[in-house]
Amino acid sequence: MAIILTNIYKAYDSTVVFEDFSCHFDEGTVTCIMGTSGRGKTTLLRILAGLENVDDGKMVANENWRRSMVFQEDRLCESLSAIANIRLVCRKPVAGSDILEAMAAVDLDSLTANQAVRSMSGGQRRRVAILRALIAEYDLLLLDEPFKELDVETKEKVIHYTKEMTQGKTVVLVTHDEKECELMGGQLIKL
Amino acid sequence: MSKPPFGKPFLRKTTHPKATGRKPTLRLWAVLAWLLIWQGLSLYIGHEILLPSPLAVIVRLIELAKEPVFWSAVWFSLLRIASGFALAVTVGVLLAAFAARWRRIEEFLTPVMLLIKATPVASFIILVLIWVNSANLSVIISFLMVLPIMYTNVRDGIANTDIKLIEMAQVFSLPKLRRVSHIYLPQTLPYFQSACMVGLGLCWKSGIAAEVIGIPTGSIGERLYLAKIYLAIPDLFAWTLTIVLVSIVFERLFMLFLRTIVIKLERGGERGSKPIEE
Repeated sequence: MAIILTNIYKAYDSTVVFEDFSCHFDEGTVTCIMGTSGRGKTTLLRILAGLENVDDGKMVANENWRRSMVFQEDRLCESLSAIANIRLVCRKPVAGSDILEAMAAVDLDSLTANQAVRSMSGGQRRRVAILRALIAEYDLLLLDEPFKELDVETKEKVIHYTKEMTQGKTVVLVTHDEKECELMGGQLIKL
Repeated sequence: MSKPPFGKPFLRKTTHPKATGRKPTLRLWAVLAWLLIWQGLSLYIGHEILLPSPLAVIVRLIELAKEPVFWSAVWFSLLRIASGFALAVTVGVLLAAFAARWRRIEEFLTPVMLLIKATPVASFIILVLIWVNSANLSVIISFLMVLPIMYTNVRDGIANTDIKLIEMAQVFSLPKLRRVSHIYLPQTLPYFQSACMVGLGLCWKSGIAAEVIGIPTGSIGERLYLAKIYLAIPDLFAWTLTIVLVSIVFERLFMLFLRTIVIKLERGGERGSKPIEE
């Protein structure tokens, strides 16, 4: 089932973010959203995530859809290890070997896996946040500028891994980088 | 690199605890220095009834400690004050959780908490003496003095929980237990610990004050009162020293217990805390 937004209106006090905005996200596809700052990219993701309500208009989506998200910030539990952060959001038990395999795919070793995230570098934390979203069971994956803190080489590796892991899934990616859109593929919405 | 315009740096290195962020520590030399000052003052005054020497106080304390009645008085007060504190912690945390969840409850409780905070402890002691037996007075007074501190701190802790983590939990539909143990608990804990530190000192001060006014038989308060009546100043100092020592031991033991619980909670609650090897 797709997500359909019809004539939505959203404003913060006197600032109108969306007025008569409509779009749809087909099931099992990747949608990239691009646009200059302040055009409502993050607001759109927050609406899809169920963190914001629209002031007017209609959003049709399956309410039972499980959502997963990479926020602009890492939003990790500081005292927990990378593995514990990932397991925290998983509904079913996940084998340690599966997590380690996923971590190795994005250049995170087993030593890092057991380390508290508070002692990790920005890039490592970012990759943990991405893996958390990818490993959690979900029907809709929301990515809000997920690759921004990664160096060029790691970024490409992580994007390829993300693409591989999200085959056949509904993904909405917000980015400023056209190359990220190209690598992820799918339809493009410009705000 | 060019030299600064002045020969010496403008700011000198500071060792002040506030500036360095280090906690002030209790040093043996400082304690001994104060004991010497006390001894000197006592010798200067020359009347034990006005200011007994530290040595006289310690001798009297040893004498008192040999009597069974000393330990029964300590147990009597400790049991009641600790009960009042435990009750305040339990009720305070529960009320704070309800207040953080339901605004109406917070609104309902705010006037009562403000009133308890503002009311002098002596007024409460006299009022409670009219309502209950003096034997249980220190339980109620300790409870009343600690309750608003616990309630306010824990409620603030819950209210200041990182909204970003709460949103993360919402998106991933985290079960309530995991939200509490991994998001609310770690962020509220410093507030709770701080309330415990303040509350532990206050419950002893207010509890003993209540006993001195209510004079329950067999309490430390009664002993202090008798020392005042008979002008047994070394006894007064010895009992005061006892209160200080018992409250310090109680505080240390409670904080140790709290740390153990926290470590157990973190270990038990952390899914996947067991290190994984390749």
